[in-house]
Amino acid sequence: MDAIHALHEAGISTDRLETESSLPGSARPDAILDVITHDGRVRFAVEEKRRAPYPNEIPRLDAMRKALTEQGQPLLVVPFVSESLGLAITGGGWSWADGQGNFDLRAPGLLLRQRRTMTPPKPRRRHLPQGSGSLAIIRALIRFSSNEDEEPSATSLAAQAKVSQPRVSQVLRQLQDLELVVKTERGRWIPDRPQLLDRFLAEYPGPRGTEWYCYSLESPTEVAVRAAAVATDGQLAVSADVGPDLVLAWRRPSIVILYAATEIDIADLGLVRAQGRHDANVIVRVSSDRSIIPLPAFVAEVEGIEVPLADPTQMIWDLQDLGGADRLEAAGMLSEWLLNRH
Amino acid sequence: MAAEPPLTQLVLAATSVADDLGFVALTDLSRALHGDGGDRYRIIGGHMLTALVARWGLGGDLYRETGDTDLGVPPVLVRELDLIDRLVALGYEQVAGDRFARTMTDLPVRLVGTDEPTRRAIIDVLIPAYTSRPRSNRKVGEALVATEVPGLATALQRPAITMDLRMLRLDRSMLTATLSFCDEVWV
Repeated sequence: MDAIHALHEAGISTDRLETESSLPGSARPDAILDVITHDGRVRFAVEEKRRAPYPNEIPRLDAMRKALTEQGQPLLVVPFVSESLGLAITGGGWSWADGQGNFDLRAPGLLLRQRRTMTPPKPRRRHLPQGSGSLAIIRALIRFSSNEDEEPSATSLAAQAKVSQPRVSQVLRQLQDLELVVKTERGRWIPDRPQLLDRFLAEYPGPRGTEWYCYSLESPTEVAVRAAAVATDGQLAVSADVGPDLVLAWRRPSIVILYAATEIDIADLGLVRAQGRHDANVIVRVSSDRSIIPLPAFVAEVEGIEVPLADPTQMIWDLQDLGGADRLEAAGMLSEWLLNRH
Repeated sequence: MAAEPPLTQLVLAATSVADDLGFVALTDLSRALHGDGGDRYRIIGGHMLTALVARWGLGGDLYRETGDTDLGVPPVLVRELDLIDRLVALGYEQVAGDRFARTMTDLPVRLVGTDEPTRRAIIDVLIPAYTSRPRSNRKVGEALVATEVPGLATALQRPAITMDLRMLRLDRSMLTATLSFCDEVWV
């Protein structure tokens, strides 16, 4: 466990003990760790996870935390914990440590903290394939619902991504090398959707293209609905903050990102140019990434008007890119919805 | 002539689903607390900021509602009013130790061709921290496991800002509420 190594490097002595095998699964820690202090030993019951929880998932770990408390101070070990997530985990009653040498261990009379790095680790493996077609395939795999009758085939993915079947097969093989998809005996592909989403969010280079910063006296939602009312099919997609609000409302939208296939006249939408991102409440982007506008269309209906939305993965990326604690929480909720929807 | 700030009566219009759900939660809290609760509680968090910004006419760009409505309330008032029972009677179910949610189906927003996510008005019940070590799992009565909020005890001792709210939902229906907020000095 890298986290234990980091504790040792920080001059903290520990003993790793055997876990009690007679305990039921939910109450059995992944490890028992004694931290040796001047006053004696403080016992931690370790829960190790392959990915860090989103902030909104932390309350759901409460039952596990309570069960672990019987064995020691509950300690969550994950690959990486950001500064803001660390606060949320601590607020949820956990101590935590990550594989990058960051930790926050708390117990009565004990507080050990270290922050070595603020940025998540770079993936060790090769990068995801990039380009509109590849990204469209990856987004389609992430959208794949767990209760669909059949795993996606190269043919169905080619139709969704609007790329050739040989190109789909090529991308799928690359994803297979990255252990992000598994091929079934029937020639279909099972995606590891949480891993794919994490890798997509970490490696997406951004929408690129051209963008305009604009301001409107109307609310971002009103601007989005007005834009949708005049847009032609497949030419516009609404992203954060309005898109996520229409799917799974969490924060009042203060900005809207509109993706357009071609340049649009901002005056037609009642917009004026803003000086920059800091004073804009509307961002219009014309991107070369065709995968932002999903196929089939992802649409919300607002008072009878159909509002085309950006691919959910793009909305999550935009929420993270716009930043702020509330948006990160909204991104976590949207990710969870995307991965768990039926 | 327009009223001069600070205002004690506000008219707020929902411009998003998050607003709409927040307005429902505020109205329900008013129904659960107003009268019996006096001004012994405070609305805190994003809805407090929005209300205070509106009270002083500082502009909608500063509004900051999130999907949860935070109620700061002393444990004694939770017990005295049977607050949890009152929330349950209003259609809320407890979805976490301190979180209560009411499923809303009357919003004029829907997703086309995909499963509709559950949209819920959410109330978080928070209590004051009376020590320097706030806890996140303080049991209050049989059902509530609440988070202690530093500084809330001070806010409860300061004069409340009690305001009448008229809130226009997305479907153009009007909700009304009378609620007590923390004063600006505490914020």
